[in-house]
Amino acid sequence: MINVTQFVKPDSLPSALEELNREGSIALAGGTSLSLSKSKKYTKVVNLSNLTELKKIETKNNRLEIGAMVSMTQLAEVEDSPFPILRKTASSIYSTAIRNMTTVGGEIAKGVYWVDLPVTLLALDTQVLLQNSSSSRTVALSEIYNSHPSKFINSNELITKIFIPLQKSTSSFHKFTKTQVDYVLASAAGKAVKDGNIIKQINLSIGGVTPLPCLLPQVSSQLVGKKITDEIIEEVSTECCKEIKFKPDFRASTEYQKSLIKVMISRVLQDLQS
Amino acid sequence: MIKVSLTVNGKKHEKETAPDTSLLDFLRSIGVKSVKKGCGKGECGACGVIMDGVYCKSCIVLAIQANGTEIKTVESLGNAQNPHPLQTSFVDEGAVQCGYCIPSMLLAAKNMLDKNPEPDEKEIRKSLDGNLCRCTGYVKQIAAVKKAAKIMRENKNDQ
Ligand SMILES: Cc1cc2nc3c(=O)[nH]c(=O)nc-3n(C[C@H](O)[C@H](O)[C@H](O)COP(=O)(O)OP(=O)(O)OC[C@H]3O[C@@H](n4cnc5c(N)ncnc54)[C@H](O)[C@@H]3O)c2cc1C
Ligand code: FES
Ligand code: FES
Repeated sequence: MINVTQFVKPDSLPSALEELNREGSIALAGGTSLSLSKSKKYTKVVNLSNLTELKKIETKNNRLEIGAMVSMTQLAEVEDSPFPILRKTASSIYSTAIRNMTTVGGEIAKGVYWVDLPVTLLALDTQVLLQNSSSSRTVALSEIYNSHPSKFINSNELITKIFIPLQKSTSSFHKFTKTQVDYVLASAAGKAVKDGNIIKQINLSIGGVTPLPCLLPQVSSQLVGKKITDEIIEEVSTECCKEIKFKPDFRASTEYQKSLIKVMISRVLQDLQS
Repeated sequence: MIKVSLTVNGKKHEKETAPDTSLLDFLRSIGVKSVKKGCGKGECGACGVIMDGVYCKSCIVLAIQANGTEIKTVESLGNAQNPHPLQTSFVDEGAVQCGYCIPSMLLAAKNMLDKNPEPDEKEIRKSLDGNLCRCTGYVKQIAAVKKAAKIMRENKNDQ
């Protein structure tokens, strides 16, 4: 940040997008990560904190719309949320001070193994609205994460909103850390649409053990048309590790990561059973 | 250099600083030494302040990001002559040893009590999360916040 000469705080989204057009510009949301950046390539910081239009959580067109500047604390405090796992995930993040500042946009754009919100958002089929000063595109979060946010999102683009389809479904999130205030060792989330006991559609996702949170499409598709039984849980939680490219972690051997993922996925499936 | 202008406990400060200066280093450079530096990367909580009503860690806020805001540090609570119930309770409960973590602990508790005057133990624990203390073991601090909450409620009822 040492070469920053200009620091602007626009009052509207169009002017923020305009400001981002200049080379060397970077958006600042909560700042929990950007404030520590040692990068010399930025010359202008565009602070998004005045954009009240990005701080809303609304239900519209049969989907939940969440602004990119909604903080984790705000998300954790939503009453009667159609997705209680959003509250659970947001309130599991590190500490009060971090949750107060960290935003939905920052959680998605950061692109590191320890971000928790994207694990849940992937399971919930989240779509992301990306805007620049002249155009916009809506893409699946899974598409961004199949690449990397830093590659997928252009430097003049902002995540402005995310959309989660409202659908009668069951969802669950589980996370393992050594203490409350720690980076995740392993996590899993899931969403299931069922017909009686039979699974019609299911997404399972994981975090903590791969470079970025990701979906598990293979085991998820194997579950369609089935009833979640204890035998299925045992089988899927073991089988899913074959689909995961575990990253090295000085805190956990691959064997340990596998046993944690097995427990996380089992817990998620147990929740989806009911 | 970039000019930063902000208010600390009601007093206005203005100073030129490097663009990558944290709010923590900025505050200490203008003489606000109750805001402590531990890890410098958002993990230990020693540098807590309340910025425009939001409890945050000043080492991961850029000074320029705090331009135009109102910062509250532990001095905003009370002083030796006129201490805040949180300060008295921390002393009475023996919740302070070396004291390094205490300014942030007090602000974190204050920020929670402003929104939730009747917290249960789980809520107290959650409000102090991320404020590492290497001396006390937390038990007495939790007791101190509980006690302060009670005194604050009684004081309010007496008014
Ligand atoms: C000590 C510590 C512990 C943490 N622990 C956890 C944890 O356990 N789990 C967890 O999930 N998170 C955790 N976090 C938060 C996480 O690591 C990031 O710091 C956070 O997600 C960044 O969000 P922000 O809003 O502060 O973004 P900023 O720091 O402001 O920005 C980060 C990056 O995202 C870009 N960006 C921000 N918003 C947008 C947008 N709307 N559109 C496009 N780009 C954007 C910025 O340009 C920048 O490149 C932790 C943070 C710290 C400091
Ligand atoms: S110095 Fe800020 S959290 Fe440690
Ligand atoms: S009293 Fe010493 S660190 Fe808390």
